Amino acid sequence: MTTITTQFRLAPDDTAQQIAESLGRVGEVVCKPAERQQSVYYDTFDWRLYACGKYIVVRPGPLGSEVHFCDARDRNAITITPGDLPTGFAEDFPPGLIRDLVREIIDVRRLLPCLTVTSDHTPITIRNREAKTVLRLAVDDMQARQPDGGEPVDLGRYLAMTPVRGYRKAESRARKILGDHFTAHRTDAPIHIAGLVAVGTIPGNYTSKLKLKLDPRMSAGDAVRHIHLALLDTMERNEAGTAENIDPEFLHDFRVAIRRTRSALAQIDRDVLPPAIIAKAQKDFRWIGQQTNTMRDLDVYLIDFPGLQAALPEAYRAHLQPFQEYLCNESRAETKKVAAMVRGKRYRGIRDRWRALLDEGFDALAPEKHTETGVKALADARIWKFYRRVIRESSAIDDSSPAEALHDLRITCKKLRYLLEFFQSLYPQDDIKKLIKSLRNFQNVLGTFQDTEIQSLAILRFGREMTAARAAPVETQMAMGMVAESILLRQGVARQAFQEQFEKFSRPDVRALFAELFKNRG
Amino acid sequence: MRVLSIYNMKGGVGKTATAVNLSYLAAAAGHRTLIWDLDPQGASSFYFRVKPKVKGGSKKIVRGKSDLDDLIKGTDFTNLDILPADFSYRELDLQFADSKQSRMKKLIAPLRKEYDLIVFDCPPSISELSQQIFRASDLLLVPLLPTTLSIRTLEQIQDFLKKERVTKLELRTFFSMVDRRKKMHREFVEDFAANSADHLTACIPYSSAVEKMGLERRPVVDFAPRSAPAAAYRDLWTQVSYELW
Repeated sequence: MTTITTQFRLAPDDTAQQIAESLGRVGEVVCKPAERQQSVYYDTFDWRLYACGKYIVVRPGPLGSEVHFCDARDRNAITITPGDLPTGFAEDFPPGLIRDLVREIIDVRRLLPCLTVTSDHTPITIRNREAKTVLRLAVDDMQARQPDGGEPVDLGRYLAMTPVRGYRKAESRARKILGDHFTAHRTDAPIHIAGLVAVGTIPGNYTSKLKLKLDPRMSAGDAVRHIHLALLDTMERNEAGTAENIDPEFLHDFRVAIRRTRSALAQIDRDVLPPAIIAKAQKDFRWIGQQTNTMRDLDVYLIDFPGLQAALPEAYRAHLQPFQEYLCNESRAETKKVAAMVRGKRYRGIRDRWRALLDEGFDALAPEKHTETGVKALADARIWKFYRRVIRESSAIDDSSPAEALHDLRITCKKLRYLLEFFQSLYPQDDIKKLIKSLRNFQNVLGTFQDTEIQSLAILRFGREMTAARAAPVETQMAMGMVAESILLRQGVARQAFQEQFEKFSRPDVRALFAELFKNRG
Repeated sequence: MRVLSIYNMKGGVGKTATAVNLSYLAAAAGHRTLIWDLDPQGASSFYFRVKPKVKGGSKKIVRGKSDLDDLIKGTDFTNLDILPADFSYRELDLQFADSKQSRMKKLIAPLRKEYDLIVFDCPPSISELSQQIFRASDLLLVPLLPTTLSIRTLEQIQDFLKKERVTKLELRTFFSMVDRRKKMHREFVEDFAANSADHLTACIPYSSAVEKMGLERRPVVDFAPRSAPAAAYRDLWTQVSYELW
């Protein structure tokens, strides 16, 4: 189905009429009158399509609206689906290869409009003697604007040429004529990238990953302020999406920013901030985190739901429907609470005070501490301390250890991970990536263990609440019991994998690298 | 990728019109679709205005010396390509005779990534080519006329599939070219539908709009979307797509 469109930038005085007239030697030319078209480009909030060289655009087609899923390198439409994007989730695409492909990229994120391009579109068709279309061209005068309105920005005049499969001759003849007669310049950059830049949107301007660039000569105080500002930015950027529950990743990123902030307060701020400030901020951010716990637990269940359902025998799957409805209802109610919190006085007060402190008041707090310690010394000391703690706690765990021991270890691993991420720019990239990767694999086992622990307790609570509300028939209760069993099975597998992953994490080469990078040799 | 074959050993039952219209509807629904016009008469190719000729002919295709990818042509419709007919296809029976019964299945395997659906527009015969088609297909869709003779050919097809032990193929029938003004047609359709589990209820009426496809050289669902046969083909596609996916 491959049809690669070639795009040319035209001079302002090159018209569709002139182009149509010049192509008479290629075949019968049909040039329809120009019509106004609107194309809306989509990506996820964190630019997942852009990051992997794809884009999705909804534009008019011959039979109505079409969704084009395209490769940005050659603008080849991987697939064209009728309709639009009613939800923005991968389920909008027909089941099969394409939905799988889209889901692999966007996962649970929602596609959001990121650009609107309006064009005066003049289609030109070249036909052969059988009146069969052998080449499609279009001249477009394009304007870009933000999806929610704003002033349109002129992008210029473009010619797009799309060959029809099996009719290459027509394309090469047309290309030669156009080259001889017009000042057409081939442009390989997708038009929407130019459009995004023109309206002031920088594609890829948000990522949930911490990409701080710290200077090793920075003081600890400057570095800490820099880290907190980045985390506060992330928190603020995810506020609206969390309140509207656009997709579960907004809340996830919002919570991660809060957890990282709390971790930074506990692990690195004590060298640069007065204890009273730290204690107050810790209390505030803990409160924000707590307000979102239930919503996240419900999200995790809803995200996992298709997998949980698929794990049951087919005869029981339909009986989980009331459970899914219950989760959705609870999620809606919880979203309202979280939205009220985010828009509420207490949250805004915490956020604004914290912003003011980081922006203006930071240097006035314990200024002598800010310059005493260099960031590198702080990073070395904290990471080395937490690495040793992880090894110590892990070594103490055996088959008889209680679940709390694994939970505590998970928290310690998270603290180490955050420290590595805060300070990664101070160390050789390949080395730090290797350490983060080995820690991540270890964390995954601990994460699965803890998540299944929470899920297995939560399903009991859900079951009780549903029974009290008379929302769980016997069949549903039985199906939920099976879900609980499958969760506990997963937990058992994670527990068994613990030792293997710990052995990998504590390999001599990983230990040596931790010591080489962080152990204070002075 | 799913493979749908429009087949009947009897000619003139509306196979090509069905193949052309269902391919169009599949493509319009967003499925990347390829129609392979296997009939040397080349009627599907004609309807899509594509010359019924393939470079190297059928011999090279069967021997695997032609890359199918290079022989495919784009139609005038989004998501729809065609592998055109060629007069040499009349010798496909002989050419497949020396091959394994899964040769056709192997030939189309490389198209798996590129298409969601392949539609075979089959020639009217029961032969080596038919066997190859049966083994490469997921669904065999048999248009029937509401006549006794037509039902007899269906029985012959079913016997053939049984004899050749083609077990992994789903067979579905539907009525084509039904003249509702004829009492006999109406009764036949109702009786058969009531007694056959593999029968799809969509019913394509006899209509001059379908005949006009030869003049328009487009599917009737494209040039006369509000006509009765267009509605019937849409109905048929809904039922067929349910069977396919």
